Amino acid sequence: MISLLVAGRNGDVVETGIVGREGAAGLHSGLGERRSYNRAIIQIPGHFAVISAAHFERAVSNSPPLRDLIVRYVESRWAEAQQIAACNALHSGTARLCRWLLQAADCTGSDHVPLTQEYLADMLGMRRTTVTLLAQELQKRQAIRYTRGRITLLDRNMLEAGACDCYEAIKRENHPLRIEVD
Amino acid sequence: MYYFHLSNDDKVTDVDGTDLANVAAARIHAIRVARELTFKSEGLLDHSWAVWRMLVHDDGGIELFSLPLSDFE
Repeated sequence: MISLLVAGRNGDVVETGIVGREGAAGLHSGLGERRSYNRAIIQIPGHFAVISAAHFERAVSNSPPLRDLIVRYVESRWAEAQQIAACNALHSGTARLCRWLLQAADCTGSDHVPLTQEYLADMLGMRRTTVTLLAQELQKRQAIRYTRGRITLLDRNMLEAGACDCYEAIKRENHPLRIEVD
Repeated sequence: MYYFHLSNDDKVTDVDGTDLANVAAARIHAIRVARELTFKSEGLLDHSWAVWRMLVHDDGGIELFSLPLSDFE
């Protein structure tokens, strides 16, 4: 799982998007030389396919369907970033934590999220203490189980009930990278 | 290390603690955490913030100070 981050001048970061097995990072480079406005870091290790920007741009220039797919995917990433910005401004810590855990599980295809609360706090723009206390609440409700460095989703229904409507909105906007080839 | 627990009839325990310079820094941290917890939220574990307090302990388990979460709603 890749996190897309925006960093402040003092080094604080907040996550503006998540890329999992449904997507790719840096896809807009297929449209030609582009500026990057965020940082991408691998948050949860896994298997990744890699292509150079030059090769990818060449492939896209020869394929209108591929170009169209990239444009649609970039639009969905843009929509996600806007939704997360609204979420951070409007929704409680618990709702955002539930949303994030569900997104991470969807991205990786696993209910086991190997991430420390410190990283999770950075991603959500909260203090680690806050995440610890909110995670304790979810654990008491048996929605999750957490040990140091690992969170396991136990009750997706409960987490979906606790998440804000941003989770469904982001899921709706997420177009998996898929292309019809004649 | 300082530990920021939540308490009413139930308890939510800060199991990890936070490394801070002194009690004054712990108080600032407590206020910031309280604000994050109560932001756009009516309570915790189905109890309103009115019944919750944050208890700040040192490494030895001594309570240094407490804050009513209702102050941050």
